[in-house]
Amino acid sequence: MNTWLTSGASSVAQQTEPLIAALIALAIFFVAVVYGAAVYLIFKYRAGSPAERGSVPTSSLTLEALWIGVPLILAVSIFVWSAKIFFGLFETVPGAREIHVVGKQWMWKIYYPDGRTDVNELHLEEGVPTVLTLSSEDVVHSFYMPEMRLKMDAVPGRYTRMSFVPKKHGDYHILCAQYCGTDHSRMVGTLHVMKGAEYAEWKAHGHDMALALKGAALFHEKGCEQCHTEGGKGPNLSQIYGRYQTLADGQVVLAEENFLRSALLDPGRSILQGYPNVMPSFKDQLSEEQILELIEFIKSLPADSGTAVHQEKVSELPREQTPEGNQLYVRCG
Amino acid sequence: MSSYLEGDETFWGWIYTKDHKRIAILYLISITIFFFAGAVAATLFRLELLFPRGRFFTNDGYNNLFTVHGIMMVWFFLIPSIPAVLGNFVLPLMIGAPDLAFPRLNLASWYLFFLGGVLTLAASVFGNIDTGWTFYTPYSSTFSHPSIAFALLGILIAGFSSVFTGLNFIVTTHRLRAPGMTWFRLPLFVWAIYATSIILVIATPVLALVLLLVGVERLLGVGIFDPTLGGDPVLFQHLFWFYSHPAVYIMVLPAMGVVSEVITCFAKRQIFGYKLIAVSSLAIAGLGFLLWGHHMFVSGQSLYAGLAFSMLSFLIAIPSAIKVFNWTATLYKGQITLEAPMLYILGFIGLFIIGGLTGLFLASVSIDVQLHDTYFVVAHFHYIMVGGAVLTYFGGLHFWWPKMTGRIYPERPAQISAVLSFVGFNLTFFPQFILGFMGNPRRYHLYPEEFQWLHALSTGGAVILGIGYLLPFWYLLWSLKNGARAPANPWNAKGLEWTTSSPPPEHNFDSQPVVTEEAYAYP
Repeated sequence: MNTWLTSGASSVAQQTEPLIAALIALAIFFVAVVYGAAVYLIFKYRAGSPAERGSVPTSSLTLEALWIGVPLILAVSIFVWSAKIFFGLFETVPGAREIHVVGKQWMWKIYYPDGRTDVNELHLEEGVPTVLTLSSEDVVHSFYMPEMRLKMDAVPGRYTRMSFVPKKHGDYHILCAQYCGTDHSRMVGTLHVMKGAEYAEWKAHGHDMALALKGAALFHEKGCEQCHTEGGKGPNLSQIYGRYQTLADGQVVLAEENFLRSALLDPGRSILQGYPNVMPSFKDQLSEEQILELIEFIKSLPADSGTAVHQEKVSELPREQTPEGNQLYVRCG
Repeated sequence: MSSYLEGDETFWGWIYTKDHKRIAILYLISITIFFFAGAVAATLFRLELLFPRGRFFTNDGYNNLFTVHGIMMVWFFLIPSIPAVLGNFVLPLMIGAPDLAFPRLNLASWYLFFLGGVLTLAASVFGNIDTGWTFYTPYSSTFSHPSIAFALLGILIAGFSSVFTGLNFIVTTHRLRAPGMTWFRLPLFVWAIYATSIILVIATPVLALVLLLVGVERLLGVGIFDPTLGGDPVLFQHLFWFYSHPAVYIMVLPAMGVVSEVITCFAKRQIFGYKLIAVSSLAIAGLGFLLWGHHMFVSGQSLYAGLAFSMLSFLIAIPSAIKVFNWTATLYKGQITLEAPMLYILGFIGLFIIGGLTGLFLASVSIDVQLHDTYFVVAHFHYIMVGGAVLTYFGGLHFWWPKMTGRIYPERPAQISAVLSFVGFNLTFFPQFILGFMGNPRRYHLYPEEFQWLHALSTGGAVILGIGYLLPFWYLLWSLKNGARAPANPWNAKGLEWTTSSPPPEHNFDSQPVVTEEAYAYP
């Protein structure tokens, strides 16, 4: 940890650090006022001192209004200042780089969209808006990057996310911040924030099939295309992600990662209006990684294309790359 | 005229007592035992934390230590301390009553408390409980060691003791006030205990339910919190914190009540802003139920829920601030002396204000993102619970010691203990604010090397704090045989408890007191 009050290492850090400074100043001020007043009064009015006593005030509307009013105004101001920054953490930035983080006792698995994976390391590009989508394979963990001034719990069974821009290149700490068992304090890693050229070089050297392509293969292997096709029993999946959908019971929900996940694992609750409730559940059949692959595949479908496009994608791949082949051919993303 | 300590001096005379004063002593002894258990655990892990890569304990061993410390200190020391010891002893005396409204219920309360405490302590020592006192799921409901079931049961049983005591205090305050003791003539300690009792009665059942549900999931495999069984881990957090946030007000409100009693006595003047302090106690109790989500800003809870909880958390700072300013104003034109109870209470004000101000950092949503689950939080709550509640527990114990035991404690060692506690406390916990800012998460056995100097400072402070706690243990016991005999009113204080002998007779007052003046009617 370089400096403990100012790092400026992320967009969030740059916004919260002035607020922290203001709060520290405020705290010192009030401590000084109360300690000062107490010490002064104890000395002046120590038993037997010559200070004048006389009638003792037991209430004062002015004073009480003052010390209700001033703290109230300060409290509301700090709240508003802090709240404005908080919105940024949750926002969806179009074009942001989306990376999946999966916590598991006791390690962090990172899945980049281009198919590359990392364990206990995260590579980000300086200045590029980034969204981390987090989940867990077992218990609640928390992905903490102290110098970035960022943290978000990784919860099993759902996705959480945080949106930020890394601002300063360098190596930083990754720590688990939610007690998760024996090796909680060893669930640590390194965050590498790299400048553009460096990042491009790193990217050029890891090889794996893009998550979305793996998802396409899985989509075929699991037989999803049998329903999710032109004229089939299931909806056109290119129309789903990022849009509001109406469910069979009339509820309107935003179809983001959590919705797609529940559609795979508990489809009965996620059936869209107008479609029969016949989708099977894939609970216990898909690993966390496979769920991410399918989600990335669905997100990659161009809008209004119809899910028939995936068949072309799969048949586009050289024969060795389809699941029928013995191994997936590695292609640079 | 025999005191409550004489009369039936057999073992059964104490174990079957219905006298609120004897029950208070039974609680005093029990919570001291549990306090020592929690303190031994803290001593061990503070020693261990001198070494960044650990030294004497495995990860599992360390995780057990901080869990035992939290469970023992929260449920078996802090929650009962002032209400069950000082409240039980002093409340009926303060309102001019011969006992609480339900003496048998009071005894049942102690039985359940002691049983729960022994069960939980045994489970912690002989089992393998490492979830932290917060029992987050699915770790606690699926992954942790089975002995956790006994700890959950012990806490659940002790929870009933909280509810019974709260109920008893509420009914007593409504029904057993002496003639002339109107609501706004009540000592502020009674208002504080009353507000605390409301929380005890309403919040504790939620704790019992959530612990029961964890047990049900664990033993019967019913999916409530574990996502692989169809449950929601964040639901646990909502239910747990719905109790555990008001629980911290159970700890601090009685402490604030003690402050009002002691500061008026040792400044020898009327309190400033009586009504505002009384109403603030109720406001804190009520508002305290609406803040629980500030423990969950990064849990996956929605943005808007986070904002609502944040705003409400800021609002509760207001009644607390009012009290601090009013107490300080109570020093104006007083005749101030600095005996040990007053030193403890001044220590409270000094530490509570730091604890409260650092709460503002945590209430600010975007700053909490950084500080949540770090040592900053640990420092914050220790400033309030230890710097606050424990210091005032000691202060109140010293203040009412002559009344409870009929003996005067030795003043100089007591003043030294108060100062040592204040200094030792700051040295132990202030470095932890820095550790939190720098990024040291909580519940970490192993930590980055660069933090070692801060941990060393903290452990050094803990040694001084420990001495500050051990000294009273020694001289208070010493005073039972060797202290000067106490008169009815050794402090020349106002308040009905000082009008009867030290210690009081079993029935408290020889004749029904009648109240004709305001509280703290010092000339």
